Amino acid sequence: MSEPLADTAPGAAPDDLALAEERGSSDSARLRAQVRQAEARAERAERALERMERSAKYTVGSLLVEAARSPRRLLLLPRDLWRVWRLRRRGRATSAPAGGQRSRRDELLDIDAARLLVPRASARPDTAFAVVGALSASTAAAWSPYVAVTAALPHEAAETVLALGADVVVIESAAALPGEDWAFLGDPAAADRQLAAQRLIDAARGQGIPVVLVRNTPPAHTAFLDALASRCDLVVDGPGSRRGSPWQPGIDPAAWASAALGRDDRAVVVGADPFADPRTPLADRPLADALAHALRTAGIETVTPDPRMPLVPARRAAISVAAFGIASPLRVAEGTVGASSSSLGILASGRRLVGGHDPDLDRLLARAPWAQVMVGDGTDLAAALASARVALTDEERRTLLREIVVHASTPVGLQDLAQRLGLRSRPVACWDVALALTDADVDAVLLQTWRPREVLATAAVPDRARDALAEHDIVVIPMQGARSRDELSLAAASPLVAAQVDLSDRNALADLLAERIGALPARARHSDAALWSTT
Amino acid sequence: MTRELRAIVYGDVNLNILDGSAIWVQSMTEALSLCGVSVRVLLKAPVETSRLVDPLRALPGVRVVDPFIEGRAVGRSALGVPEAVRLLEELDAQEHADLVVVRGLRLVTAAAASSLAGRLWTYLTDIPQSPLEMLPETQEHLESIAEASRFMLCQTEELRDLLESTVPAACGRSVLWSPVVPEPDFTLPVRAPLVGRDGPVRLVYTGKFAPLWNTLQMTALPALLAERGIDAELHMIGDKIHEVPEDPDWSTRMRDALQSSPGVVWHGGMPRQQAMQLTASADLGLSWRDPQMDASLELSTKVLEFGALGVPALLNRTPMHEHLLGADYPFFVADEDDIVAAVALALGEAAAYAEASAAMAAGAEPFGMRASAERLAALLQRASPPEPPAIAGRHQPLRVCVASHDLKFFSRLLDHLRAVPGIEVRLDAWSSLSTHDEQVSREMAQWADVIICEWAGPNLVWYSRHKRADQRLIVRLHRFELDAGWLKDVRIEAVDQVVCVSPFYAQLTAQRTGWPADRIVVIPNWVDVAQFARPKLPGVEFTLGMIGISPMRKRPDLGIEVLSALRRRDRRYRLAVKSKLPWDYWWIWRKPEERADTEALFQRIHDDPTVRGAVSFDGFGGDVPAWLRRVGWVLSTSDDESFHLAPAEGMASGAIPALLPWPGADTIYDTRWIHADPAAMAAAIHDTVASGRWAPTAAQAQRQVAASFPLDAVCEEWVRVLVDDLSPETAHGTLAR
Repeated sequence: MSEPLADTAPGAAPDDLALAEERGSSDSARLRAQVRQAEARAERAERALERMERSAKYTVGSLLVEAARSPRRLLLLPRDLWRVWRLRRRGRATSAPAGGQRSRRDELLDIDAARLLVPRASARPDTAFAVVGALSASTAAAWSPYVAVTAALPHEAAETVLALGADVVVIESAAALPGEDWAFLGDPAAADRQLAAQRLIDAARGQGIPVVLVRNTPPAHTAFLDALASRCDLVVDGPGSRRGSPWQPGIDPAAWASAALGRDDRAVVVGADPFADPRTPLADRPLADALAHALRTAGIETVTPDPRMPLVPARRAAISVAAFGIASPLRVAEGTVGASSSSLGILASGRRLVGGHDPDLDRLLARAPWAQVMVGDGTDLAAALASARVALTDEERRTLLREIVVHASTPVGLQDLAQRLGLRSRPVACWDVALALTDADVDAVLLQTWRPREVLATAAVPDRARDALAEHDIVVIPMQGARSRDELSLAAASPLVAAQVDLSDRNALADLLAERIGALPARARHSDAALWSTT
Repeated sequence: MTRELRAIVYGDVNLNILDGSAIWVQSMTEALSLCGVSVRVLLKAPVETSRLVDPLRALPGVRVVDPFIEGRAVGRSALGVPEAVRLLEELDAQEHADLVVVRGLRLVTAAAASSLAGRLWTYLTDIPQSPLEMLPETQEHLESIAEASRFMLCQTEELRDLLESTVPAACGRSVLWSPVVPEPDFTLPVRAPLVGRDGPVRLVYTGKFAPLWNTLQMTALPALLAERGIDAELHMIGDKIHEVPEDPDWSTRMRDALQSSPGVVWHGGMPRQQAMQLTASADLGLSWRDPQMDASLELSTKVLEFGALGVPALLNRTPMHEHLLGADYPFFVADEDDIVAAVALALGEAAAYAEASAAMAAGAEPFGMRASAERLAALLQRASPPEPPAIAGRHQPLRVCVASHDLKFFSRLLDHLRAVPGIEVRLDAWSSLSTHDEQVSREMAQWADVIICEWAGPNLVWYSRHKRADQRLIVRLHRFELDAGWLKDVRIEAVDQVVCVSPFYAQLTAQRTGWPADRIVVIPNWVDVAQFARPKLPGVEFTLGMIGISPMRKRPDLGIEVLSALRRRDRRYRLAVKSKLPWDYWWIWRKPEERADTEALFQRIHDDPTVRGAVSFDGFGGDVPAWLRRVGWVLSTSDDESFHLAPAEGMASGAIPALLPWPGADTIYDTRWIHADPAAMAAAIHDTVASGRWAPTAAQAQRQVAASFPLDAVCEEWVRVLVDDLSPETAHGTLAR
């Protein structure tokens, strides 16, 4: 069998390489053994050095030296030291897996080479949270509007973390599915990808960056990632995974929102098609078959995103022609995390969703149960499809989107993740609202389903009220007298400002936010409530 | 076999206990016996029950060596590793063994350091199942074992991939030796459809009782099925109930459930054939396990037994099971709901039941004793080829010297020549292209009957001037030598055969050197098709592969161009690169033009939105067959090549080759794989994929490479050229068959 060789011209290769090649075929077992032992000794020495370099003392020393050299690093020093302390406190030993290929990155001869290999990405200073990792195209698309996301390929991941830094490194099991950047990660046929993931973890550890494994694929798939899971700081189970430590990553509601109503003879399926996918669970097939029959009878055609097109436009195109959606998976099995991004996305687009049992979705949308058309054994499917075709009203669309924004959106999901990791970063900061307040009704503020981050108080705020707000991390900014939009914008640190809000409605702020995100028509209100961007 | 081979088998396992390891010893010995090999089986422990030993003794050509009776062992306790290795060496000294088949990491590690090294056929299951769990010490042991092994026998494809990816020396030596399912010694019952069944559905489970095997949950299935109106009974065979330290009551609950669950019939332990007979009488087999078991790299022998008996199994959907039975196998289950649905499906749809039974039988067929023995016979032939007619009847071995500074393209041929009876091989290892130990070369010139110069370098110049008149001198010329100045110093009249790897280079050699055309012949490069033919991973039709992209005359930029053209049509296309990168070769990286081209290449990869994020660099190594499992197309876009093995290896793997018309490509590869330019290549690739013709086209390519450059045929040609001149006609036409 051949090896991927640089050149068939041996004259170009240096003698030591030629000798190395000959070693493989040499008669001298003794010489081979000596060379092997020497290499093993060298490797052990390298590992000892690596261990030393990963030690807390060494890391702290390096951080101090870097801080002394660079004003930027000096500013980041408290954060870096805190991370080191946190990781040490967890007592996680950095692993030292086998794999000769791991050291290849260390063998780069030329700094130019590393420069060429790593993409020209840069940290985005305008975002509050930076993620680097092994991410699926779908997740990268959902997160990128809100946080700085670098979906790294296996060969560049470790170097990318070293070059860019990040708040968190995420390895997502969906990134290991066929067609994704890290396809077959975990499969023994792709050991190189597991070793690349290990290098990524080691690089993150060296920088004091926490590593999260997000399992959001079926158990048969994630079982292959157990060895990686044991090396991560946090393992969470997203939709599709077995319910261990459930986590709802949320969706980007803006990417799914669709003004088009679609045709009432079209239903959209996003994700694995339960009618055609041979992997549809056996227990779901009778329902899938019955539903397919009912759809045919009703003259409804199913559409799916064109896999040839880029993800988001393809999804948008498919949704825009459909009147309602069909859940994928059709039913969420007991012990599995539900509320898939495709189910949430179809709902966020303002369409009803036809599907079976999904307790997570039920819980998330407790205030909008009418958006789901439940089907199961014994359901009158013709009637179910008829009700699915009925378009949602504007009010229903707003409510639905509001519930998704508040409970199942990307910033909220990432905020949850940051809190679980003990990070101070606030991914949700992109939706922080400064509320212009004319009276000091603190209770009404705190009862809001989307609480403001700041209160621009145009009237005096009693100390007790100020303390109550501070307890919930709400900052009070005194503003004397009524102010113009521009003045409020200038005073606010938040990216959004709301004014004239009727706080007697506990969803008032959330509705304003949902209207803005989904570009929905403003609902009729008693006040001239407004929400605007400060930028 | 044309000559009798002798083997020693030692499983480091107590044959008084019936378990998987003991069954392995039995099946390996039986397969060797079927291949006509004379086998000695060394026992580890004194015989207490002859349940397993007697059938071994009854096999033709098999002798059971009981060291406790024959006085070879010290004492009566089971053999430790050092004593076992000592006894293996002792048996070998008494009667030379061609192969020594051993199992178990500790034993094999010790045997690798013994005089048996080189003849070991090693079988390991007790190794880490993930590259991340492979500690350096383990890796060192495995490296030593691989170097000492003629073959490393791997239970599954997954284990083979893992070994090759983490233990470089395992590449090329790792072969599949799957569990062997015994042939039933009874007539299989006719499997009737379950539709309209009058009476309970019979489910069966055989094996151990343990939490991860879901055996406790299984006992509730008849009651659950009854709730859904399905009359069912579950037959459970086995007597090993695990003790669970973290759940001390588990074994009690399990036993109680076996004894008292409605619809459960517990048969206890029973002999294998009897268990198989009971299994064969059931309607559905159960191999439903906890998802934690899904990552196991071992294939359940119970599933294979179900298959051999034609009993459809209800089992987890795992990559391994999908490879075995197909992604559309109807009875994959994840939970109790799925099991109920599966039973209902079996009762309701005769076609699904028959389809599952057929899939199980087909999946298990390669694991039968007959098929296993055939695979073993091929390995034996490879390891110990018969004496070829070309050198038969000689009164002493043909002495062959191979002189080269670089054997990377000759290694497998060297293995073969060394294995051929009647040939003795020695190396004249030049330390570089032009430096050597002249004393050694002079001794070789005195000793050898035949000298092979691998590469037409200064080694050829030297031997053409120092060979004996009665000596045969053969040179293999690749490509770069044609531009070298030293060829004019070769005394061509002293050279018997100039072997090129393609007709194009043979003709070019004749033109450039003016050497007599009748001495210039072609023996193609070889492809070990059996090594490369592995199951593809899902979605490979969208993955292009390039092997070796340095230096830039390999034209990775054109590969990127093809990718870009494809991704404009369909975003699912990707390019995987298996290669060192230009900066990994200092003699390439020091060239300004190489650096500039590399800069431009990576600039495009990072900046061009049509390819950004779609190119992966998967490193460098000998694990090409495992890597090719993720590749559906192998590109060859070089400016020039002498042969370019990569497309051929891709074809052997089940990928489709796609070449640009570098000079001579059409003398090696079928013109159907050669495209005028990157745009035409992209159009052809997309047309094939979009029209659903990827799989049949890949199968055609695989058949073609097997007919064109098979390792065995190339090896035979090399043996022939040692003593006979080949026809100069081989230097014309095309090699593609």
